[in-house]
Amino acid sequence: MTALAVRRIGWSHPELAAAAVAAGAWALLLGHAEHPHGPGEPYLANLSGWTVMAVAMMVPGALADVRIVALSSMWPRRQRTIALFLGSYVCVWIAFGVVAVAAAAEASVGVLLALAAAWELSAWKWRAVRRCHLIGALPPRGASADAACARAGLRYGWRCVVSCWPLMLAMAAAGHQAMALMALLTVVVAAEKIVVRSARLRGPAAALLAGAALLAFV
Amino acid sequence: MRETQRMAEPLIRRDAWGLEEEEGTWHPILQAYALGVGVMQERDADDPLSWEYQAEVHGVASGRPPDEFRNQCQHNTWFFLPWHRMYLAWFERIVRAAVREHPEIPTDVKDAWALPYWNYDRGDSTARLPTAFREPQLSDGSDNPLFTPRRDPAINDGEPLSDWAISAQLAMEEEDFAHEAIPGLAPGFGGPITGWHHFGEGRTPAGALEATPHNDVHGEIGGAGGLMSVVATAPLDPVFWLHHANVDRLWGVWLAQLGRENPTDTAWTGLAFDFHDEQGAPVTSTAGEVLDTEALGYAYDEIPTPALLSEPGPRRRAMPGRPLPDHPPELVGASEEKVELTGSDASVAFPVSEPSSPALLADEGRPSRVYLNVEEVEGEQSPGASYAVYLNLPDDTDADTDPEAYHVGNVSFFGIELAQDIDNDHTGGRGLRFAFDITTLVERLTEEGSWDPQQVRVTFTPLRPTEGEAPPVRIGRVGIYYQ
Repeated sequence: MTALAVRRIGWSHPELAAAAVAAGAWALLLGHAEHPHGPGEPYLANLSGWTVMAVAMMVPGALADVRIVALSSMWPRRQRTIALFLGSYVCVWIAFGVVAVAAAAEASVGVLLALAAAWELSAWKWRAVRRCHLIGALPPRGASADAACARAGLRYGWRCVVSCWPLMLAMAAAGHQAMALMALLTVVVAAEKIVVRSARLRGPAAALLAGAALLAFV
Repeated sequence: MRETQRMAEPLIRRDAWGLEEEEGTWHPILQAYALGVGVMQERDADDPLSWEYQAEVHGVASGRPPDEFRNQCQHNTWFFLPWHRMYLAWFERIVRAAVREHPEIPTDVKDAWALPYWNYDRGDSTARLPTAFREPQLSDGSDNPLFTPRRDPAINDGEPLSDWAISAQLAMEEEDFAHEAIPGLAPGFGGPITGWHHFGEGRTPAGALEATPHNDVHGEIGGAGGLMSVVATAPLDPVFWLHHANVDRLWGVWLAQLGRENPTDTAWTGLAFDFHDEQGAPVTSTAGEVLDTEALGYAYDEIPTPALLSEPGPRRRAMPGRPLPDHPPELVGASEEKVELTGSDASVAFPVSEPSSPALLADEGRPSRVYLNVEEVEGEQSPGASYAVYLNLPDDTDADTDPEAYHVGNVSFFGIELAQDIDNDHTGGRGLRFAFDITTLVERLTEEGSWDPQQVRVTFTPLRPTEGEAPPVRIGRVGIYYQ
């Protein structure tokens, strides 16, 4: 593939840089998977691990929306738009983590996964998933564009928290070294955001999470 | 569709106004349609052969559980035309079965019956709703199943649809059936390339034919709150089916032009959709199976050549005759504030910057294509009639100004109730979106010296006057993209 062809892919897919950041987060977590983390670790260490985990788990499902937001921005602002949007989005998950890492330290992963399975079957869950996609058009330039973009990222994050809170509470309890569970939940979260008519996934997702809950109890 | 259901000779779908001109309001074909619709309306709503069930195939009201047969209509996608062709073909068979079992319909009518179409753009009085749909009673004094009071009262009173709502000329000028679904890019004749797409999954605009006349005619007939203005109720109005038969016919007109082709991609030809046949048995259809209407058992009485379409005015949407660039469009300017439409003229102005993308810089900043996008169009309810969109329309102090020379297209509101609906599983973006190719208009304005990048003005004008204030609609952003 020529350099021009690679650049052309970047023209149509400005979200690739964000995808690389998510991949980097996965690499970082995999590199430290053997290092003992979890409830016994200092709170700040767990919170920093949580932040990397939030990037690894939540950015992949947001990439399709991020692409549209970036392609709808002025060309020189595309990466700035992505940084502001995803930065705000991840900040919401960090704020959630501040509470969740402390609250879930001693909680049962199995119970929280069972709660996540039940949440999959609720109407609130799917209304929140659909709300995620309701991203308004942004002003074209200047401080108003920056502010609107950050607000859009915060809204996106809040809706994502409403959609995924029990699932991420389970991850807070399991710790960011639980790579297999993390991979499973990332696939669930991304599929629910990306697949057309994703509410069809509510049954399989609930079954998957219930199965994971059973395994956690064993 | 099944090979065994092919017919030796296609039945002829005829223009409803042509039928009326031939034998008056109650031409036997229209009378038979009324009786067949009446039979379907008597059936239980859970019966796939009933009127209500067939409407729910298109869309179910919010809160009603959809399934693989219901809530399946395809809009704002390249499946719009083939899905509605399948829908009409199976519906026509269901009506025909009811017609053939009806004791009051003569045998020769039963044998020849095919779904009529309504060619509203044939001139004279054909822009008025055919009389059979406006009469509350049939000729024998019984209730007319083709009549509903749930239309814009002016339409039921015989007022014509507005000229720019019914003209397919802009759509006929499109060279390609479909374009990639990407911000900025106009979607082509048939709609943007998507997967299964009920309505709003992909923040996509409607294809040119779906936009005008399809969406505009829906809004003008339904008015504010009428059956035809809402996706879930539109097929409950019997004229829905004649409107869509005309849209289906216009697909054939577009194809008759030199160089026009349907997609051959298996992603388009092979996706299967579920329906019921006239026995109520589940069936599937694909786009690839419905490209030949004669194989489906019907033909139109008239597929005029484009030369017979309405005379071209000083239109600006003639395609520039250059291949579509393979790089994405670039936003070069957009409005900062929302625009509210309440039934009167509104406009917005904004500056356009020089392009910055490498592809455009390599071409000295000269775009091969220019697009006008109207984004995030929201409202609680469709106001009915569309708004004409103009680019840099001069002040009306100049009597010689021909507004048509600045007309970009129409903003219509069919489906606006779904654009932010989070109760149904099809939300993909906020509001409706429109994308118009304005390349030749901008080139002409530039030649005339009336294209000022510091002051691009977009004006919205209602196509039909409204009594009082129309249900408000908000436009989130108006933008110009270069490609």
